[in-house]
Order: sequence, then structure tokens, then C-alpha cells
Amino acid sequence: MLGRPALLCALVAMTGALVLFFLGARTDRRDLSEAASRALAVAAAFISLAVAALVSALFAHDFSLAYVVNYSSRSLAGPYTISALWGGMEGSLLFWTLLLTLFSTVAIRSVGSTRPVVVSWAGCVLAGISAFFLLLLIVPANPFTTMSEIPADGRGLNPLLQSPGMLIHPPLLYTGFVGFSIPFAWAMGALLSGQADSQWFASTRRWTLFAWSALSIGIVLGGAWAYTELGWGGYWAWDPVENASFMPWLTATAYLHSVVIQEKRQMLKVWNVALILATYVLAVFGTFLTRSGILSSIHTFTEGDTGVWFLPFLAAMLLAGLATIALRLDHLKSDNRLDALVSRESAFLANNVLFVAAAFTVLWGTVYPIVAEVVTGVRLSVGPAFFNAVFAPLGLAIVALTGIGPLMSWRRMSRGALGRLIRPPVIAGSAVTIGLAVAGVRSVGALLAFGFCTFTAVAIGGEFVRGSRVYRSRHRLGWAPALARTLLRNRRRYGGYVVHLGVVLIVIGFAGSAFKVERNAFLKPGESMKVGAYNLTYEGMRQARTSEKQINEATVVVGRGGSRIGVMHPQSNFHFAQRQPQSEVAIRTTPVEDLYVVVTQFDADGSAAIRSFVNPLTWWIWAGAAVMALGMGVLLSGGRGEVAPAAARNAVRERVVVAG
Amino acid sequence: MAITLFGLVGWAMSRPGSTSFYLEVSELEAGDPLPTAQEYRVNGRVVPGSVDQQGLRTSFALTDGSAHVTVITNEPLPDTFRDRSDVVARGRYDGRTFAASEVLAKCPSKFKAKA
Repeated sequence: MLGRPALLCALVAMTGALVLFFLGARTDRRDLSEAASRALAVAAAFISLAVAALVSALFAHDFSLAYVVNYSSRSLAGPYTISALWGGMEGSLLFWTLLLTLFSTVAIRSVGSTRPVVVSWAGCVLAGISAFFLLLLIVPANPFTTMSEIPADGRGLNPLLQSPGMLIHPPLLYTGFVGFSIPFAWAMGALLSGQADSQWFASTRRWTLFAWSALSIGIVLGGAWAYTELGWGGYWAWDPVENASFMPWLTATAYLHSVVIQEKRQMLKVWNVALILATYVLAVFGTFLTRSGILSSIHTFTEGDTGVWFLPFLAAMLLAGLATIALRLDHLKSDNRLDALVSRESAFLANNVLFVAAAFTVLWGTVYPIVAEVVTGVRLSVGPAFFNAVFAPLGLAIVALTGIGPLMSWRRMSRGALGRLIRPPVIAGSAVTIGLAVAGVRSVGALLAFGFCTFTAVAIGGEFVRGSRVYRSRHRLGWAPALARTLLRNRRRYGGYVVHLGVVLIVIGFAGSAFKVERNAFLKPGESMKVGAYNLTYEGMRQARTSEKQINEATVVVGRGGSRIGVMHPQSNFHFAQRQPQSEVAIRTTPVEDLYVVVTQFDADGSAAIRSFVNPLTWWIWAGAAVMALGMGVLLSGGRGEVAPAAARNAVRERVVVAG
Repeated sequence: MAITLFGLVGWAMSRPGSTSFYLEVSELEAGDPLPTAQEYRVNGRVVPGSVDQQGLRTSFALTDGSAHVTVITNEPLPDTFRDRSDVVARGRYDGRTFAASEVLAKCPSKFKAKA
């Protein structure tokens, strides 16, 4: 077996890299850090070998390995054998370590040359973290544990994980979590080397964006998976594990905004380093939460002893990070002060306050049960009602600010100028709110949300109109080419606006849940039930059998206003390998509302329990996520340097001239 | 700003339904009179053979090894609900039966292979 020896070799190489990076950083010798980065690459190669060994064991059904027995079976369909790699704790840690070492190697090679000392210290941090994960894989979470008796078949992968979403969701989340190690290591490297000027983040800007984009899409896909697979009609339950992915997302979002102030005005340096530290620590904390069994979550990976290892690691990262910031505080002085309250800077500051407040709220609600039990001995759980109550006002404020911020100019702005820009969005937002109220919408939260979303969407639209005006007038371009050119010529700014537009669409989708309708009924074939404006008639159950499962498929005829509009087929299946029932939801999606139908149980006489929902505007969440992803693509495709827009424009002209 | 946030969090925490007490079956049965208006979460295993489904109404016995409580619910049950599964029921207790407004299976969690 190759796996375990490969991990041991990787640990040896990683320790070598750690020592060499450290020596290279202390002595400022380039040859040492180059040797270190080669050692890091060797370690990455050994870890890839270990991953290849585990994946091939999964595909070869090598049931001498406990991991293969626990998370796969002979009947498991091909592609899902891959998801078994992250389906269990040991495999997921191995996969995590692979990503960490690959990202570290690539980051050090690609951003390396400019400042060797910063790179050496960053390499030191990354090699240290990687060594910790390798130690986990060798001692408490060995993916290559062998069975004493070799069984004929494995226990199979949980059927819930056998869905296309689960092929992409975990790797994206891990990419996000692990990706934040790179800016974290660079921040620490800049501080440790004493070269903490205001530009350390520039070399990792793309890594931060990349990690944040992967995490964003990963979170949305997790929600989409929950919505289409779990059958409770929702996409987000404020479960501790969901919160664990959301907290670093919130602090990273704050960081992505406040780092712009550091870049433009050399302010908020301490704050930014603290945010990147918080993001990294929260990402590790999330990994710890899901593996420790400390919180009761429907997601608990396992109740093993790996969690015990994470707590000291987490404490060490947090303390070392804080100590480093404290020691180098003099390097982090702001070069400027806030000039005026009405300015782009103050809008960014307000954004940061809101996102950090949101992260604090999620942290509070997530760890409160642990704190309460330790302090008072009473076991409590904090439910969605708490989170929804706090996030409604915070979310609305964030949406409004998304619209206001871009209208502000840097340093200071006259109230009259702001007033002119803000008038059209305010009028549009108020019109929508008043219009909906007159039309009979009574939910105050939803009225405000739709008003704020309109306000911000119009404000963003205005930015595009103003931005493209020059291309339309001077270059005589039509609307579409002018807009495309605006977007592509200043990708950081307009790519960001596209992301914001996606967020607005998503919030519209969230607001729609205020009008959610749920109906349950126990129906005999031929009987009907009503949900919202729909009439559902249960016509009966069709049964079929495959080698994997018993399929029980209901036929539900959907009517609306007296006419028949469709047929839906929710299933309630039974998986043989896992001896577990699994319902397959039927969803009829339109931009206005989703009709969501689940069979929760059925009797031998053919009658069935039907659970149905009308989920208004849920479509907008997925559409908004697609728009966000588009904006992320624009941002990530932007140039790596800090090229001023004017210089970039000239460069493009020169290229055109040369080409012509 | 911090005061506003703490105020908001405090207000949200104090709203009904935001927090609920988490109990084992024996703690529920222990005899201390519990306020019936309060929502609880009770954790235990489904007693084999106790599940009785009639239409949408399900009743089953929940045990933590020593004590038992009868849970009644009209809500749909999760796929992983069955004899011996580890469940959390959320609802109210009148001293005899536990009326659940939600039943979650903690159970072979989506990431863990089943023993």
C-alpha cells in the first residue's frame, strides 16, 4: 500500500520545507527559500500520491481499507465514488491537505519573486499549517486504516450525498476555506518580516477573490442541494455547520471591501489584518465544529477525537496572529484620516461594521449553547427565529448601503451632488414599496426589502448608464457594446457592481419566503388538496425496482383556476444498501413561485402523505447566484496589477495601434 | 453602534421561539414541574415497535435508556426516521405526552457512514 508511506514522506518533506523557510527568512538567503519551496512541492507530490492511492482504492473496491468499506459500495455509481473521497472525515481531511499544499506551492511560485523575506515567512506559516494537517492524517484520522476481516461489500455512501450538487459543493467550500490560508499567510509574512507596508495584500488579492468566490458559490450550491434533496421546503436552516461556512464568508466580504480603502487611502491597516486573521480562524473553527461533535447538528461528521486536536491548533493560530499584530502595530499606522462623513470611505466603513456585526451575530447564536451549558449547566439551542430576527434589519441595511456606497465619491462630497444621484433610485424604491402596499402586500419586512432592492438595483443601473455614456457619445457605440466595454475596461469596479446586482436578486428571493405556504394532507388515490392557488390531485403510486432501490413514484396532477397545468412525480424510494428511505422532491419552478411537492410516507392501500409548499420568488435566489458568479468571473479575469484605469486605457490603445 | 448591535441581539434572543431548552427524556420525566408554555427540544432514541402512523398523525415512544415519553406529531417525519433512530423532537410537554411541532433525525448524519 502506497498511501500511508506517502503521507509519512510528505510529513518529512513538509518539516524540511518549514525549517528551510524559517532559516531562509531569518538569514534572508534566497537559496534557502528556493530549496524550501522545492521541498514544499515534493510534499505536495507525495500528498497527491496518497490521494491517488485512496481514490484508486475506492474505484477498485478495495475493502481491505476501512475507509472504502465505510463510504462506498460495489453498486455506487461511478462519479459518486469520487465524492466518497470527501464523504467521510479522514478522506475530507486528506482532500483538504491536498488543496492546502497545492495552493501553497502555486502561490509561492507565482507571487514569489518580488519580496523574498515576506515570501519566506508566508511559506513558513503555510508549511506549519500543512504539517499540522499531515500529523492529523497520520495519527488520529488515518484514511488508510485496514480492516481485520475483509467484507464482501462496503456500507455504501449515504444516498443524500449521491447527487450532482454533492460532487461540487464540498470541493468548493474546501477551496474557499483553504484558499483563505494564502492571504492569511501573506499578512502574517508581511508582519513577521517587518515589511508591512500597505501593499502586501496586492500580491494575494486574486487568491482572496478566488477563495471568496469559491466559498460563495459553494454556500449557494449547499442551499440548492438542501432545497432539492432534503424535502423540507427550505434552503437554509441556520444549522451550526451552515453557520460555520457563513461566518468566514461574512468577514471575508468585509475584508474585500475594507482592503480597497487601504489601497486607495492607506487606512485601516490593523483592521484589515485582523479581518483576514478572523476569516482564517473562523474557517478553521468551522472545520473544528463539524468534526468535534461539540454542537448537536444534523451535519455532524463524527464524534471522534479529531476535534480535540483542532482546539489547540485554533487557539495557537489565534494567539500567534494577535501577538504578531500587536508586535508590529507600529508598522500598521494609518497614513490618512477620514475626511468627511459623506464619503466613499465612510460608506465602506459602514459596510464593514454591518458585515462584522453579522458575523458576530452568527458566532453568538452558534456558540451560545456551549457557553450557556458551561456557565449555567442548562442546555439550550438557538433557533432560526433568532437569526432571522437579527438578519432582517442587518440585511436591509447592507442592501441599502450597496446602493448608496457607489454613489459617494472619495474623501468628501457635497450633499447636493449626492442628492442629484440618489433621487432616481429613491423615487423608484418608494414607488415599488407604495405600489405593493396599495396592491395589498402587508408584510412590512417584505415591503421594505422590495423597496430597498429596487433602490439599489436602480442605483447600480445608474452607475452603468453613467459609465457607458462616454462610449456611447464619443465612440458612437450602441447600448449593449457600450455596456460591455464599460464592464470590461474597469473590471474591478463594474465586476463588483455585477456581484452586487446578484446579491440584490438573492435578497428579493429571501424576501419572497415571507409569503411561503405549507400544506400537508393524507390522501387516498383520487383525492385532492389545496396549496396556495394550486389544486393537487393524488392519482396513485407506481412502483418499480432497480438493483439499488425500490422506487415508489406518485402521480400528482396540478390544477390552477379550474384548468390542469401539469403533472408532478415526487418519489419516496427505499435504498437497499443503506436500508434507508429517501424522498425525491418534485419542484415546478417559475420566476413567480415554486410549487414543491414531497411524498413523506405511503400506506399499503395506496394512500400517501403529501407535503406541499408554495415558495414565492425562490427562482430569484438561483438567478442572483448566477449573476454573482458572472460578476466574480469578471473580477477574477481582471489584470493582476494595480493599473490605474487611465493607464490601462492607454495600454489598450497602444495595443490596438500595434495590431493595426 | 455596539450598543445598537447588543440591543438587537438581546431583543432577538428574548423573542419566543428563539431559544429552546434541550433535554434528555429522563430530565423531562424527572418530575420537576416544567412550564408548559415553554418549548423544549428532547433528545432520545425511537423505541422499536412503538411507531404508530395513522394518516398524518404519528405517535412513538422516545427513550434515553432509562425513561420513556410518548411523542405525538402531525408533522411529516424525516426520511431517516425509523426504529432506534436518534431523534430530536421540538415541542411542548403537558406532563404526559410530548406534542412535537418538528421531529429531526440526528442520525446517521449525511456525512457519516452508518454502523
